[in-house]
This record gives sequence, structure tokens and C-alpha cells, in this order.
Amino acid sequence: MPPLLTVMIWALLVAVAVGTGLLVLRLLSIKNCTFLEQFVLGLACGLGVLSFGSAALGGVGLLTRSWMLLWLLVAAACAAASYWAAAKGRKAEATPAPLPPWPRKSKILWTLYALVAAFGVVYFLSCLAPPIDGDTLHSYLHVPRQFVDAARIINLPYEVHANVPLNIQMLSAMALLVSGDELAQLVAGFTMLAGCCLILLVLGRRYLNVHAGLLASLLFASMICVSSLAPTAKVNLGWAFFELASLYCLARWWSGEQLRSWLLLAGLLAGLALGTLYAAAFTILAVCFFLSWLSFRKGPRGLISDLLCYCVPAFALALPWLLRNYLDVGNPVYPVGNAFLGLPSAMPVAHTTSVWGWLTIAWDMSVGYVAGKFGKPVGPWVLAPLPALLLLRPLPQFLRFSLGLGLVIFVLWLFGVQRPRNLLPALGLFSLGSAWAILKINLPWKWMKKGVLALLLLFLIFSLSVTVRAHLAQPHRLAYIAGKISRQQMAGMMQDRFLACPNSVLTQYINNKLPPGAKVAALYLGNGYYINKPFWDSRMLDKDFAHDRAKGWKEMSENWRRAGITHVFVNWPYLAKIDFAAEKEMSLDYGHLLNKEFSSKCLRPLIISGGQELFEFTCR
Amino acid sequence: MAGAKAPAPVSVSPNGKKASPMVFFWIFWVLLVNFFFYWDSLVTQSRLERVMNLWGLITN
Repeated sequence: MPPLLTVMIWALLVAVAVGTGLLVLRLLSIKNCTFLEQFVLGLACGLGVLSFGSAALGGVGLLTRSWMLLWLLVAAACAAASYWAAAKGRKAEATPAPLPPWPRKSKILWTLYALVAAFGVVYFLSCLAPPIDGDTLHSYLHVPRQFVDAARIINLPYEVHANVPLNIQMLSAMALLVSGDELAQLVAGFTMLAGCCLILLVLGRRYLNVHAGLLASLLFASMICVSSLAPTAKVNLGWAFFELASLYCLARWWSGEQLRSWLLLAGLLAGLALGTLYAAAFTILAVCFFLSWLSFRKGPRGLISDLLCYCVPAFALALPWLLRNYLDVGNPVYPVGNAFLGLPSAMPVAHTTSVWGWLTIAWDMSVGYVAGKFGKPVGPWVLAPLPALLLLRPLPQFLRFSLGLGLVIFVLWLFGVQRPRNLLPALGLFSLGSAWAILKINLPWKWMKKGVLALLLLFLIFSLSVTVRAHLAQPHRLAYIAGKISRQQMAGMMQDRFLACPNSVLTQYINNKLPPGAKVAALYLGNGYYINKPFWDSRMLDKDFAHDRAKGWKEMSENWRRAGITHVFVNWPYLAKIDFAAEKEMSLDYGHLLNKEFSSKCLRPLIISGGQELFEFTCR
Repeated sequence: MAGAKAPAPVSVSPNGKKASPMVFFWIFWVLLVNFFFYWDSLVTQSRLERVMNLWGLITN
């Protein structure tokens, strides 16, 4: 689909989502919001509704293009009715502006606008090319694509991320049916990032000031770990958006309005977050702690009622995925706690387990990678400026609330996957604190203030340059966006450049030459989004991704036979890059593959190209 | 001269309030984090532990 058409469909989809979301806000009697607040809350709720609609179609086996379009038509009708009602309501009761007017244009405001716009344009354009990100090809689009192929949500026992909460994957399935993977990236990547930034802006505007909100959005968008998420279909930005929207509602409830509808909406949005990523449970836990502390003075009845008002919708919205996991694999929160249920266990990716490491992890993620090469840097401006808040008196009450909550989430996060992308909502709250600190710190000389701002500008330009270089400034990508080359050419060129991906020759061969029932085992590599047949990472064929359990080649081939494998894909240059000496357990299957007896008895070479080889698996 | 403003002492910030001497530590801290970020990004992957190891080498 031409990029321009994709952009138009995306704009229409956003309009439908916002309109549907406004209907939810109306049903919950959410009032006293500015236009921007209504827009961003409507977007969060609407995307949740669209995701649930897509999941419902998948659940009943109607995940086809025509049914999806029908569902979107219904949603569009609801959205139109909601817009009409909103316009009518505005005419009937002109509510006074609840906040001070937007500040007058100043040099700093224009600079912030320009930088936000620059990041926005780069992220938007980088979504408009076929995906090449490893996790997206391996899981985040591969799983919804298989649902779409089967026209329903199916059990995928050999996919590593098929039994996790799938709210964003269902939005991707919707995008795949309506337009394609570029729309999926625009929805799961760009829209969710824009949502996060808008929430930070409205939080800043309501509780601090517009400059702080804009700067916080900029700090959030410029994190290196965020720049690697925006042009993909990964779920973390969607999770962060739902959580930040939930925390915004909580702030509204807490900051004097005390309306149950705000708490209920906070719970619903937290449920959408929990239906996206398990890490949302940390925030829900932190919020429960916070609610208990706040509502304690209301007495036991008030306390329990507040907790129920938040927790029941949160768990109710995540329940369908938890139930599906339980029915498919016997663990509602698979793979968390697998060890207790006798299922294959995997330790979460950790940077440190020592107390010293807990103290230095904030430094580590500010200056570089954490958790080996898994956790990309946050950068030096989200956490480092925070100590300045100790010098600022009095600190706005909202900042004390948000930083306290962020700190509790941070401590809980140390017990989970220690990657910055799994800490995004707390990093959003911290970026508000840092923005406030940078803008308000009292420096003795003017040149010192200018120096700090110049250093910040240097980082923003650095981050923007890295993003442009990594995700946009590639001749084939730009040529595709400009409509100079076809999707096939573009995807082929990108596949050939990306080492951890089947190249275009092998992809074409598997797609066109293998019989319809073929199932391919890919050694230590499952990036099979572009392949139209089951293309499974060999690590999952024993259903234990983290460990190679087969003791010998016979046991390994028995596992493969049981999974119905007919062909074996080996990417020799990719395997040569893996440090098997460091990954002792991973080396087992590789060792079996190199066994001459195995290769002579079970493998028949079919094609080799660019160091990638396809075999027929003959031990069936 | 009538109407002329006296120059502000150095410890007074442009907004007229007295700046805390602790801001110098903050500036130093921000510079340090920025330096190590660029060092890590552009030269190598550094860690605080390495700095601590260096300190250990000096003190031992």
C-alpha cells in the first residue's frame, strides 16, 4: 500500500479511536477536561476499545478483513455520534477554561515546539517502511500475522511470545487486516509514543507549567531506548501510554476532585496496560500502596471501596489474556513463575542482583547499556538532573506524588526484567521531575544557565541524529517512502542487509517452492514474519526457550519430528556471531547440528545463498 | 548616577534570589553523567564499576 494511503488510513483510525474513546469518557461522566486532555484520554480509551474488538473477532474466528472493516464501521458510527454529541454539548454549556491560558509565544517555547516537531517527523517517517526490527519480526508482528492467517486467535505452542498479554498485538492484527505492517508500526509505535508525550504535556500543563510538560515530552521522546521502540510494533510504548494515562486519571482523582469516575477510569486504563505487559502489575501494586495510604483516613469501608474501584476493572480487563494463557499452557501469567508450576523456567533479563548494583543501575542506564546488550541507554537527562529537586523549595505537591510513585515502581522493577523499556512509565514521571529541575534551578550566572541548556540541546541533537541514522537515513528506506521502489524490492533489500533475518532468496524459496504443509525449524532464529509458512525458532521446539534440553541429536530430532518439522533453516553467518562459549546451554543444539551422523541421516541440502542454507528434514 | 542599577553580586542569580552553592555540585554531576554518556556512546561501553575499579587500583 502506498505510504500516503497508509497515512490517511492511520489518520482515520486515530479519529475513530478518539471518537470511540470520547464515548467511554461520556459514559463514565468524565468532565472538566481541556480539549487536549479529552483528545489524549479519548485516544487511550478508544485504542483499548479497538483492541478488544479485534480480540473479540479473533476469539470467535472472524478475524478477517471484511469483519474487521465492519467492526471499524460500527466504531466509526459510534465515534461520529460521540463527536456530534460533544459539539452539541459544547454549544449548550460553554464551560469555563479550567486552566490558565496557553503561554505567549517565546523563544524557548518555539525551540521546544521545533524540537518536538523534528522528533515527531523523524519517528513518523521511520514507521513508513516495512519492519526489520528483530523482535517485531520474531514475535510482535509474527504472532498477530499468524492469527490473521488463521482468521482467529490460535494456540501457537512453538512461538515464544504467543502466551502473553496481547492487547497491542491485536491492534497490530487489526492494522494488518486494514492496511499492512506499516500501519501496525504507526499504531503500536508512533501513536503510542505520541500518546505518552501528550500525557506528559497535559500533566505538566495542569500541575507544573506548559514548558515543563513540553520539555518532559522531549526528554521522554529523546531517550535512546525509546528511539529503538518508536519505529517498531513492540508493545512497550503502548503499555507506557495506557499506564501514564491511568496515572493522569489517578492524579486528577487525588488532586482534590475525588470523583470515583476518575478512579474507575484509572483502573480501566491500568487494565489495558496489564493486558499489554505484565510489568503493569508493578504499577498497580505501587498504586494500591498509594491508595491505601491516601484512603486510610476514610476508614475501612472507604479504603476497600477505593481499592476495589481501581483494582476490579484493572484485573477484569486483563482477565481474558490471563484465562487464555491458563487454558493454553497452564499458567495465567506465563512465563512468570513457571518454576512453581513445573513448567520450563527462564530468569528475567537482569543487569544486577546485588545491592550495590541496585544503587548504581540508575547511573548505568543513564550512561550506557544495561542487562548486557539488551537494555538501551536512557541518556543523561532523564535521571541525572533529579538531585536538583532537593534544592528547589517548595516542591509542587504533584511532583512529590509522581516521584514517590515512580520510586516505588523503580524498586519493584528491580525484581523484574531490568531493561529501561520495562520502566517507561516511571521514566516518564522522572522526566517531568527533571524538566522541572532544569527549568527552575537557580544558577548564579546567566551563562551557566545557557551552558546547561546548550548541553541539553547537544544531547537532543545527538539523539535525533542517532535516530535518523538508525531508522531513516538509508537510501532504500527513503526511496520506498518516496515511492521510488516497490515493497518487494524494499523488503528484499532490508532482509539482505539484516543479518538475523532470512535473506530475500531463501524467503522467496520457502514461500514459493516448499509444499503447503511445510514447517521450518530455524536454528536459534525465528524472524519469520516475511515467511508465509510456520517458521519456528529451534529453541522453542522443546518448549523451553531458555535451555537446550536435548541430550543428543536423536533426542533433538525427536523433538523436531514431534513438532512436525519438515525443513531446517540455518543462517551460518548469524550462528558464527553468537558467542557459544559464553552461552554454554545454547550450544547444544548447534553441536548436534554439526554432528556428521545427524547431517548425513536427517538433512538433505536444498538451497544455499549468502551463507544461509535450507535443508529438508528427512528423519520424519 | 541616579537610576543606575548596581551590579548584582556573583552569588545572586539573574532572578534576584540567592543561589545555593550546591548548584555547583549539581552542574559538576550533570557534566559528569554527560561526559560518561558520550564516552560510552562514542568511544566504549563504560560502567561506574570501572571507575570504582580504577579508584581501587589507585588506593591499593
